[in-house]
Amino acid sequence: MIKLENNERIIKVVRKHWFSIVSDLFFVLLMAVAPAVFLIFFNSNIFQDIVLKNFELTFFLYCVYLIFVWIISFVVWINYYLDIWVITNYRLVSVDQKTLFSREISSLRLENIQDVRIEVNGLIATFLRIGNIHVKTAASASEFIIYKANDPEDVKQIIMQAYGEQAEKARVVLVENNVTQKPPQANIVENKTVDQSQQPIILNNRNIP
Amino acid sequence: MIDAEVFSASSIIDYIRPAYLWLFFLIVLVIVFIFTKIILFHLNKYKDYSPLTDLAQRVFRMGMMILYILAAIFLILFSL
Repeated sequence: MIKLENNERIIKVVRKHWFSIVSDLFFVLLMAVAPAVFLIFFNSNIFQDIVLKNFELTFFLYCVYLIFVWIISFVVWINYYLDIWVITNYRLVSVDQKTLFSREISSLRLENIQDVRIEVNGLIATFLRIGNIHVKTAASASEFIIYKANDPEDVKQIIMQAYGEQAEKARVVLVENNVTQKPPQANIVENKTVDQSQQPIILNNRNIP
Repeated sequence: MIDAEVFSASSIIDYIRPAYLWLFFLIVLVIVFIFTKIILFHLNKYKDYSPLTDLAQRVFRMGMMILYILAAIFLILFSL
């Protein structure tokens, strides 16, 4: 569960593209039909003996097998569906569902974003608008990455727009603080006209005339 | 003992007692129950940002019930 701060609102929830889950579930489907296809096309006497004479047992075992395939398909679905990016007006929250029991939630303030980069590789990715989004932070060398995101260009626009709004807000607050909380001594210094050419140059903490 | 001279796959099955299969089915039931709880826990915990989770839960439960009932029917037929 992501706890939102005061006045924080969710702008967009970004997920992986549907093609990602379809390709994953295709392999699960292959797993499901593989034993049936094997038994039909494998014309061995042993298998015919088992299937035809004991079809109840065969179907029972096949149903048990399908139960596990059904569980696997939902684990795949959870890994897809709960792997999200939440873009708010203050930050970017990355929820990375690695496995069923492993989950990583990281948060990045929008003002710390240094660069947003997208990469779209391949024919299918170009046509279906699938791409990886890399968000580089100012503080560390680490990157926020969402793989196979849906419509990466749109997501990039939203992030940049939210970043712009946040930066503008921060600038306004900074200017307001400077105007209202300026210390009196600072005013005196500012009002003085200082001739730079008459000032001594400071090098290595020693005054050189 | 299985006689190698007159071996057939179905003769192995003759050695399988339905009681063992029911025990196996019970173990499967326990494993499935645990995994179902885990999956439903995940689906319930993060449902705020995932509107399809309710539908997913219904589909998961329905599919699981159908498969389980089918397995039980085939096991009963085998046991008879």
